[in-house]
Parts: sequence; structure tokens; C-alpha cells
Amino acid sequence: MSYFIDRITYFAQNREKFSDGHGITTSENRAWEEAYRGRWAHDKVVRSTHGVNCTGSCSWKIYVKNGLITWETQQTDYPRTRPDLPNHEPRGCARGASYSWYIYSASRLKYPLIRKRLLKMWRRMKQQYGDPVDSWKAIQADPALRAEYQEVRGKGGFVRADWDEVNEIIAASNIHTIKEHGPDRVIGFSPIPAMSMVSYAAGSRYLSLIGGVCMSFYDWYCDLPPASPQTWGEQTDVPESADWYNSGFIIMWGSNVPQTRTPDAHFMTEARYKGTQVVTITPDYSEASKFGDIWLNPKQGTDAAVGMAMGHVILKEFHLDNVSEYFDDYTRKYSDFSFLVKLEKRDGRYVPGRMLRASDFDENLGHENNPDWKTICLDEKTGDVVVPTGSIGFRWGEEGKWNILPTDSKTKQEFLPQKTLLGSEDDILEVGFPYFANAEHEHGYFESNQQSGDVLERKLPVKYLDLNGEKVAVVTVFDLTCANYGIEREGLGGDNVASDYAQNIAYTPKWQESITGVSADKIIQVAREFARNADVTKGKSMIIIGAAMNHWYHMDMNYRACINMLVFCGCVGQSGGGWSHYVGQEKLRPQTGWLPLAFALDWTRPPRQQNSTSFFYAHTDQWRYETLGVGDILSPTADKKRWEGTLIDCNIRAERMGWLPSAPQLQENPLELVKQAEKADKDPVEYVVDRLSSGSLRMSCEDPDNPDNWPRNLFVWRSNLLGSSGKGHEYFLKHFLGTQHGVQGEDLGEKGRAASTDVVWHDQAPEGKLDLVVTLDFRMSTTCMYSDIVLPTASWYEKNDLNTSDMHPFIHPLSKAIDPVWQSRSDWDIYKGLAKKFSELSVGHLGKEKEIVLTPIQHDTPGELAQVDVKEWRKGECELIPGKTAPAMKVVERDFPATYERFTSLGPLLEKLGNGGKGIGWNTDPEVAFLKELNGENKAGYAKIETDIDAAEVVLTLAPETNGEVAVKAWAALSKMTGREHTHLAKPKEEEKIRFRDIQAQPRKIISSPTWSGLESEHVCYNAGYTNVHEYIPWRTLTGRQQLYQDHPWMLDFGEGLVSYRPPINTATVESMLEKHGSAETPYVTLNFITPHQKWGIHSTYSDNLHMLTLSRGGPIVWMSETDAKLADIRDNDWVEVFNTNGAITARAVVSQRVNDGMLMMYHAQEKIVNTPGSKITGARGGIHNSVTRATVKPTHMVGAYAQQSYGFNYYGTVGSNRDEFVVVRKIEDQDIDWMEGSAEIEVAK
Amino acid sequence: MKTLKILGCLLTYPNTQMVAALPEFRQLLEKEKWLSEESLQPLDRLMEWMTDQDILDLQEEFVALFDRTPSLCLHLFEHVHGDSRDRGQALADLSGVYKDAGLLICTEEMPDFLPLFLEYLSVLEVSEAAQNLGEIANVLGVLSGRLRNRQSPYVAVLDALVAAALKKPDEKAVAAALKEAAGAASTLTELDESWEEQNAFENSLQTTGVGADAGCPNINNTNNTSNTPGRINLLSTEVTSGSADKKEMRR
Repeated sequence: MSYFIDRITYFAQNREKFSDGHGITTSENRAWEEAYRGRWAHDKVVRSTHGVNCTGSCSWKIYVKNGLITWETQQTDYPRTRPDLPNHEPRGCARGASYSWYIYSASRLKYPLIRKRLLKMWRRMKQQYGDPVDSWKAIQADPALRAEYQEVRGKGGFVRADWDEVNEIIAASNIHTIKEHGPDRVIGFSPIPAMSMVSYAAGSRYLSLIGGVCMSFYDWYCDLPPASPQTWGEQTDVPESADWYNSGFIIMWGSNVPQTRTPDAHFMTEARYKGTQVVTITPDYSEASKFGDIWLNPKQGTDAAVGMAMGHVILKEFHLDNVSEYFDDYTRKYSDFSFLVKLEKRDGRYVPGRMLRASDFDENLGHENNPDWKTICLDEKTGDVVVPTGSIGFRWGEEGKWNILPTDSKTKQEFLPQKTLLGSEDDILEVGFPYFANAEHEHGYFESNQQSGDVLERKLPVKYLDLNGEKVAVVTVFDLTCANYGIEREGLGGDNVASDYAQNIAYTPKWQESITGVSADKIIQVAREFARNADVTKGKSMIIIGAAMNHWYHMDMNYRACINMLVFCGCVGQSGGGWSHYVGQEKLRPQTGWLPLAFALDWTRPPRQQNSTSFFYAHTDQWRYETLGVGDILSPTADKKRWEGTLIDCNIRAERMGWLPSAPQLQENPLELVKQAEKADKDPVEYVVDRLSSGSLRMSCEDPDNPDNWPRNLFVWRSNLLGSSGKGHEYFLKHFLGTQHGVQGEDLGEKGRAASTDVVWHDQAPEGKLDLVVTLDFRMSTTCMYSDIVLPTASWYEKNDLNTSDMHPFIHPLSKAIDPVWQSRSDWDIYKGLAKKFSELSVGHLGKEKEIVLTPIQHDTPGELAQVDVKEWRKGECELIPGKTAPAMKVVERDFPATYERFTSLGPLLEKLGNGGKGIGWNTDPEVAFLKELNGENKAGYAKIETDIDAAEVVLTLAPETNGEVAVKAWAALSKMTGREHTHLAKPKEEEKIRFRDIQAQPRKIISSPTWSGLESEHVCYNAGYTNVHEYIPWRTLTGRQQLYQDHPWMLDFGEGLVSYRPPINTATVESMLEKHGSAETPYVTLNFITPHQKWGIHSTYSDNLHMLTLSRGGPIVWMSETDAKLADIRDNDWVEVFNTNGAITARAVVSQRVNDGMLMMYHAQEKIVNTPGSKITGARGGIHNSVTRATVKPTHMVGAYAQQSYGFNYYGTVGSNRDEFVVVRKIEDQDIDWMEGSAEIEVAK
Repeated sequence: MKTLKILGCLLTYPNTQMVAALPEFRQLLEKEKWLSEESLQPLDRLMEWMTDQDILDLQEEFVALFDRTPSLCLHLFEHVHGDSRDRGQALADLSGVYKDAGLLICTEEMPDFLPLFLEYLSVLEVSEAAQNLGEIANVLGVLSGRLRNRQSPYVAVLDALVAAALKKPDEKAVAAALKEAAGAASTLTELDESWEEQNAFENSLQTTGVGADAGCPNINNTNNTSNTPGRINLLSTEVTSGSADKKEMRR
């Protein structure tokens, strides 16, 4: 053959060398490469996120192979931001990256579990009675049987059960409870809907349909800053983290951004590169400290003193000595500075009283509509009395005048609000201001600063007005504020005011030195630069504020001191400025779309909602141990005669007056009450009013220990209620659950009986109120351990759901990458299954029934104008008028056997009553019609909500944030109230409709809606208060402006009309323990116990994951200073016992220079389930951080029916503060460590 | 061969049907004679004990042991990979092995669930099964050690498996794992030792380990005193597939 044929033309020789002989082709088996090729080959990559209340809301890629999850990585496809702004991604943190490890972990819950003792008696009863409801009844009828399973709660003893059987038990228990005690004895706790909205809604929809009670969380977690509703009439609204970049000056105050806002921290770094000045204020040398150009470390709990001193500097330099034009204009328009306050004479001196109203004048100044709720200014140019538009009186009952452009409501002309009366005053009067920083602390740890007394008198310029023939002295809020901060005004002089920062007069920079330990010059420098930046940039100074500030009993003082600085400097509502309270993933962006789904508002209204703090305070009997007296916190200027009784008595009054909700509500079954009324041929509401008035029927709140008033069934889902969030954990164990506990203190006994005025005192406190505790979780948390039934839920990669955050404007999905593993089910499917069983079993026990529902007087409804004065029907001071002087009452019809049908379809009330939120309503017929097409109709013609995706579509379709058409409708509805055109804010996005598959494709930015006060546009970042400032939409407060003065009688009596510094309270939990357990041989220290958020977990999630445990110390730890450690002879890593009357903890000590003296830090939250040895004090396993805490409620948080201080679920109410607590710390020798594990491996290893 | 299948059954959540089938189990075990007399006797005692127990008590015991104690988890990879990234991939690979053998998992169980794995082995040739059993010998050894420490009668099943395996557990590795999970308070020196960087190649403890991990001080070795088990360097580990072409199992 010719060479030509032989030679190949089209192929290269496969043994050819290449690359100058460095490479050679071979033909050996290359199968080994498969592992590498296959490593990144997946069947699918699914977008999901982590629903864990970290505010992260980060988009993640979940990799699936052979139907199994292999791992996750961060998504990097966020829509780009504007050219001058850094991008959001990558978002994520080490904790999130370790999540897939949970899926197949041994700590995963795989099967429904039930307490064996309960199952055994259930099966026996079932055999005997046949009917499940009767069987449950038989168990509950026998106290011995009940105790038999209650007393082993938390002690193991579970067996697996199948879904049918557990559903039957739960449904039977619910039905029995409703029938026997009332629907409001079935309660459910689930927090933070924003982290997985559909899963939250599953349980709350079920509970709302059967009349159960949904418990609040934001307040109970102490993440709710009551100062926000007080000042703005808004639960919480904050700038997104990208807006930090727009700031010129940031104070990071008690917020550990890199540690607790990890995915957002890059914006802080980027802002610093840009040149933003950063000041960090934390008591310890935290991770955030390194960000600061300046780091201030005030003693923990004294931040308000720092804030007061900074406010002093700002007011003096920018409002008095050299008036900043911008600040002056801003505060006249957007704060209550120019509004008039009456001075009242009390105990021989003048004190600030109520804000002046139109109704104080002759003929109400011509206002027929709500004159009691229209506040008053003077026009600086004419000196005339003006009723400006925008106060809350204009919100209800008339249209078009609820806006805050400074306009005289009569003439409709703009006017200049007069900020100060100085120069035009009729007189100068001395006015008393309560002073609290002179109080001695029980441990001497928080230092006092004695001034001239507990009331500081300062001179004020006043005007006299002739009001209905009476000469009344009035002042402006601005003048009050300057006096309150102790600033000497030119021409006024007098005592208790300073002209020099170096004077030790409240509240100068010098004054705070002895309290906080921060030097005066630093305070002056930071305050001055903060304000100067705001002056130059028109408000681009920001305060990022966190849990460290909010978890104190007097958190409102910390917060209001900061808020004042921001308002003084015109920062709120300006891009790059404002109040950035990042505590809890509170922003449920598509809220108004979600509410009908979550609370079954499409079927029945109103739902039952309860503020948790008051509820747990009462029902875990923490009130029986209360050491804080009302008198201890009362203002020295208060009318003391009004204040008899204890803290729970205050709460009971608040419930009776319709300020706070009640659960259970009435001492008798509300189903029975309606039947009785019908029998007597009476209107049920009238019937209940009559019986309450006559005293033949009591509200449950008056006697929480009476078995008639016990909550009976508890559902917990998406939460570790008894662990991470069980403030007063040991009291929960003792009274709520009736099991082994570590409570050391005695209750108040006879003393308690004597001190109480309104509550019924039983000598024997109940132990074990709950008949049944059901918890849904994917891992065995502390709460699961104490439950009777544990249901395994799908994790965040096994279900479809929605997730939003306050930190960025995107809406994320949780997606089902794989089917729920083992026998777990999504929360939606679990409650759906339960609804089905409930419907089946209810037949023959419950049918179509009417019951009476009580609701407190709600914020954002006309009801918020209910009570100008505090009057109690119970004491005969007024008549009982539901919704006016008492809770609103409504008869609701439930169709119990139709629960399942209702659960799975969108009911008719949306078409009948429309949809809306925060006081704005709109017709939503087109959306309902659309959902019928999208989800399909059921037989009855309602839109189906069968699956979790159906449920998500309901939320997305109904909400303005995800449906442009609805957004335009919502803005139009608001325009009607304000008289100003707002629809331009959503018009460009009218055709935009976000659906579930869209957000699975890419994170989607939400559409601007009036539910929120910020805008999401191509031009500005989301920032709270933006539309108030730029669109003149009122804040939802009394004056419609930012309310720095609080004039409710309770606020004044407790000394919080204006801000001040109030030292931490005395909890009295240490002394008696030292008497009992102190010994000369073992040295100890007494330290302030605080619980910051941790680095190796998000609350308790991830904290039981071996990787995170390895990165920390592998078990419970507490941090203390070297000095304190030396005092107690403790070395690093020693075991210590931490205790007080509330209970005891065992942990290892981390001895660190990071921590300041006097402080003990225990990260929130470490579980009892990992590495916790026994406590010598309690004889039980050492507790969790909540074992040494006890909730203490604050009366100012109970105020209601009064403009912005009206109740809203998670909006206002008592909060579970816990940082004022002190503990004893002492060493446990290694040989004394008892793991309490009996014959387990430890013994053998030894 | 039914023996392995039966041993797997004994490690599943007990119910009344299972207890009723115990005599049948006994007969089959006798008949197959795959296990030695030393293995059979304790198994007899286990089955006797199971028969005597109230079914709910038996279930409670099972949940406490195998569902609620991670160190006794019956999912093999809990002891190999723990809560690590490798676990998902390893599970995916193992399910591939079954697939190659023509078996598809039709229940909610994971591929590494011991009774499931045993069922798979029960359809293989006896010699192959014994060899594969040997590949998980270390896990079996550790589980048996831990059950013995708890004086649990279930130890009989693990001992029988260890005895039937072709390869015996590496005593050192087992002893180390037992100690790690024992919850004894560690001294600082011990802690330091466990974190000390290890030699890349001459790591006697890790003879059975995987090359890639051997050089790193991995968390498996920390003196963790939790209830979570110390990770064992376990699958030595080439579980082989029963299919004709006997591919290597990828890790």
C-alpha cells in the first residue's frame, strides 16, 4: 500500500506527544476520574434558605443527587444594585453552610413520638370507651392519671407512633378541651412568621378556625422595642443593610453586626472603605468593636445615660447655641416639639401633664370630629392657636386631613409651628422632673449619682391660655425637652441646669461619667460629630441598635435616648440615616396578603391573639414570686393613691379595660355562655356584659390559678419555647408542666395575698396546668424533650415556603429539594392532617356553634381613640361598654366539622369585607377571582389551598408588596385619608406580579406599599420613615408626628413622659441563696447575668451540631472577666455553677479580657441536651440560660386604647426583659462533676 | 441467606408482629447455621427478653437507645461522616451500589441504615456478604462496645455481626472511639493532643482512614464529651457491589 494511504489525514496519532513532549496521550482506564467529574454533577440544584430568625434570609443553592441532599452553597444571582452601591451577595454564614448536616443527622427527628405512659393509658381508655373524645375525657378526669405522664415530662420515655394515632389523640384532646373548657384554652406558640410564612400560617390557621389562641412572640422575646410604637405608632421599621452604605456616620450601639448580622456585615466594611465614620458602643470588647474608629464601653445597662449626655450636647450645640437650619426645620415639621403640653399642679409643684387638645377649648375650636384627639400648636408668625392636620383625630371619621404638612386644619394654610416659647412667654415657672439615677443598687454594682433630690425642678417659659374660663399654663415639648436634659437656657437660669459640660448635673457628659465609666470628652466628641455629619448631609447619621440595649427592664429609656438623638438631628426617614433596630426577623413584607391565610380571616373574624409575656407571667405563676413592687418603679411625681397592688394587678386592670388581650378570656366556656344567653332570650354580648357588670361572671385574668382558667392544650412549632425562649424556664417546668424543676425561691405566700388587690391568691399553686403539649420540630430540642407528643417536621430543604427579612428587600422561597425524610411532614401537611382528623372526630361532639370572642381595643382602628381617661368599669368608675371601656365582644359562628374544608380553601369573607392592614382597606375581589383560576376551585366554589405552594400563592396574590395592582389600590386608599396623591409610588410596577416560581428563579424585590414606611425603588434604599418625611404621611401617633413626649397618665405616673436614665431594677434573687448555699470554703462572685446572641448558632439551632460545638467549647459556657475569675478562684475552662432563686446552671467558664468586670455572659441559646452535668443546688441536670431568669412585666407596656399606645399583636404589650438579673458564680471541682448518666459509658470509661 | 436479614430485623423498631415472628427467627437461625453457637446463645437470650417485655416498654427502650442516642445511631454514616459534608455524597454513592445490584430502596429509610444494609447483604453470596460485613467492622465493634457498656441485650446482634464478618474491628480505633464519646472530663493536655497536627502519611491511627482526610486535624478527633459519638475512622472501606461487574464503590 502506498504511503499515502497509510498515512492518516484527518486524525492525530493518539500516542502523539504534545506540548513539547510534556504531554502524552495514553489509553489506560480513566474510570478514576469519574469521582471528580461526578462531584459537581447533580440531578438538580434547588433554591432555598434557612428559616431560623437570624434576619439573614440568604439565598442558597441546595444540591441533590439520587434524591439525596449532598450540600449547599451560597447563591450569587441577586439582582444587581445601583452603580453606586455594593451588591448584596454573597449572603450566608458558617451556620447556614452547616445546615445540610442536620438533614440526615442522628439528632434529626424521624418519627412521631409520644410519651409511653400517655399512649398506654390512651389505648386502654380507647378500648374501654371506643370514642376518642370520651377516652381523652376519661384520662383528664382522673388527676392521678394526669400526673402520671405530666411528672415524667423531660425525662425521656418516648415511643414511636404513627401519624393516624397521634392525630387522633391531638384532635380528641382539642375537641374535649373546646367542649369542656372552651376554645380559648387551646393555645399555640410559633414565632417570626417572616422566616417561613406558610409554616406559621398552617398552625395559626388551624387554631384560628377552631377558636384557639395564637401567642405573640416579638414582645415575649424582648425583641419588640416598645419605644418604637410609643414614638412612631409602628411596631418596628428599619433601614435595609444596604442603606448603611449611604450613611456618613454610624453608631453601632449594642449590636454585634459581624457576629449576629453576618451576611450583612460586608456593607459595614464597604461603608468604612467609602469613608463613613463608625463608632461602636458595647460594654465588652466584642466582634463589632474592631469596626469602630472609636469604641466606647459603658457599663452594661447604663446606655441611656450615655444617650442622655449625647442628647444634651446635641441640643445645646445644634438647637440652642447655633441653631442648625436643617434640624430646626425638621423637628418643627416631623416631631412633636411644637405641640403644647399643660402643666399640672401636684404636691405643690408643677409637673408636665396632658397634651393640649382641641376639646380643651371653647366649642372645641370648631371641631366636631374627635376634638379629644386633636393636638395643638401655636403659629410662630401670628401667635394664633392652631389645630394642625395630621393628628390622630383626623385619621378617623373624616377624610383628606390626615397629613403632616404643617397646615392649619381650619384655614388650610401652611403655618410655622412655634418650637419654643422663650422670648414670647407669659411667665417662667419651675417644673418638676423625676430623677431616678439617685437610687442605690442592691449589689452596689450600678452606681448612683446623687443630685438635689428625686425631683429636679427646672425653669420653663410658659404661656397662659384661657380654657373654658380657667387659666392654664402650657409649655412646648421642645422647651420641656431642653429642661429635661438639664440645659441652661439663656435668660432662664435656675437650679439643676448646666451651662458647662464639666458640671455634674443631670444630664451632662460629666454627670454620666460616674455611672457609665465613659469619659466626658469622648461623649462630647461623638455627639458633636454625629450631629455635625447629620447637619451637613441632611440626616445621614445612623444608629444600629440591638438586643443588648433592648433586653433591660428599662429598655425604653435606652431606646428613647437614641431615638431622640436621631430626631434632634433629622435622621429618621432620610436615606443613610435613622434607627436601625435589628432584633428579630420582624419584617413580614407581604403581611396583608398573609394575614387572611394565617388567621383564617377569610372564614371568621376576629381571631384570638394573646400577648405572650403577660400570659406566661400569669400562667407559669412567675407572678407569685414577684419581688418588684409597683412602688419601686413609680415616679416620685406620681399620684400614689392610684397605685395599690402588684404588677399582675396592673395587668389585670389592663385586660379588663381592653388594653391587653386575655387568654383564656372568661371563667366560663364561651360556647356555653352563648347557649345560656339564647336560653334566656338575650343578646349574648348583652348577656355577658350584664353578668360581668354584676360580678356573676369573671374574666379569667383575675384568677389564673383556678382550674377553670387554665390553658389546657399547647402547640409549639418553629420554636424552642421552653428552651431558648422560656424566660423563667424553671417556673414553666414547675407550674405549667408539673415536672421536675429547679425553682429555689418560695412564692410570696401570705405576703403575696396581702399585697394583691385584683388577683385571687391560692395558697397552693397549681403544678401541671397543661393537659397536652405538642411540639413540631426537626430536631430534639429542649421543648421537644418536655412535650407529650413530638411531630417530625420537614426541614428547610424539604418544604415550600416564603421568607423575608428587614435586612434586604428581596423575597425568598424555601423549596422542596427532596421529599421530607423518614416520616417527617411539612408544617402545612401536619396541620392539614390534623384539621382532617379534627373534623372527623368532632361530629357528635361539636357542630355549628356560636361562641363569644373578646378582643382588646386595637391600634390602627377607630377604636384607638377609645379612652381619653383611665376609668375602670370593674370599680364602678364607668359603665362596661365593649370596645370602649372594655374589650370588644363579638359572637362568632364556627363550623367545627367543616374545619378541614375551610382550612383548604379561601373563604368568602375577603369578598364580603375586603382586605387591608394598618388602618387601610381595599376591595380584593379581582385577586380572589384570580386565585380561583390559579389554584382551582373546590366543590363549593372557593379557591383551593391544598398545598403549601397554593398557600404561598394566596399570600403573594393578596399582598401589595408582591402584586403591583394591589399596591396601587392600597396607596389610593391611603390617599383618601391623607388628601395627598401617593399612587405614583407604585404605578410604575402596577403590572408586576410575583409568583412562587418567580422567586424560585431569582430573588425578587418587593413593591413599595403603604404597609411600610420605606420605599423600594431604583433611587433609594429601603429606609423607615421615608414616606412620612417625603410624602407627609403621618406617623400613626397622637400628634401624627414623632412623639417624643408621652402623655398617657400611666406613662406620666411611671415617670416616662420624657426620657431619662433609669438604672437596672433590683431583682432580689441572690441574697437568700447566699444564706442557704454560701460557704466559707468556696469563694464566689455575684455578677450581672446577660445573654447576648451567639457566634456558633442561631439561637439554639446549630448549637447542637458537632461542627459548631467544636468551634466553640463543645457545651454550655459562660464568659467572665479575669478579675472576677480570680475572686472566685476560677480558671479558664473550669466547671462553674451559676445560680439564684430562679434556678441553676452548670457550665464551663471562659475567662477572657474581652469581658468587663461584674458581668457574666452566657450566649443565647445553648441547649440542655448537650454536655450538661448535674447541679448541686437543684439536684437535677444543670439548666439553660433561662434557668436563672424570671420575666418581670412593666406597667407602661400595658397601656392601651390610647392612640399609638393601643394594642396590636406583636406591636405593643409587656416584654420579657431579662438582663437586670444577678447570679452567684462558683467553681465546681472536676471530681464533683456528676453527669447523672447512671450506668452509661462514662462510668465504664472511668 | 436469611441470617443477616434476621439480624437486621432484630435491630428494627419492635412491634407485635415482629415479636410474634421471633420463634420463626430462631428456627431459621438454627437451620442456616451461619452463626456460631457462641453467637446464637446471646441472641436467644435477646429474643427471650424481647418476648417477655411489654411491647411498649420494648419500644421505649428501642427509642431511647437507637433513636435518641446519637452514639448508638443505626445509620452507619453517623459514625463515619457524622454531620459532615461528606455524608450526603456518601449516601448518594451507597444508593448507587444498591442500584447496581438491581435493588431500589422503596421505603423511607436511608441507604446507610444498618438493617437495610444487612438486607442487601442477605441477597449476596455468603462469602461476599461476610467480606462486606468486614468493611463495616469498626462501626459494628464500636456499637457493640457501647451497647455492652450499657448492658443492653441488643449487644448480641452486634456481636453476632462482628463474629460473622470476614475482617475484625481495629481494636485501637474502636477503643479510641469509645473513649472519645465517654464524656470524661478532658485534661488540657489531652485536648492539646487531640488538636495536634497529624502527620500527612504515617498516621497509625488512621490506617483505615481515607487519604484525603488523613493529614488534617479533623474534628472527628476532638475530645468531644457530648452525647454525639466520636467519629470513627470506620468504613475501611470498600463495600462491594453484588452486581456482575463489581465496580468499586466510590467514596
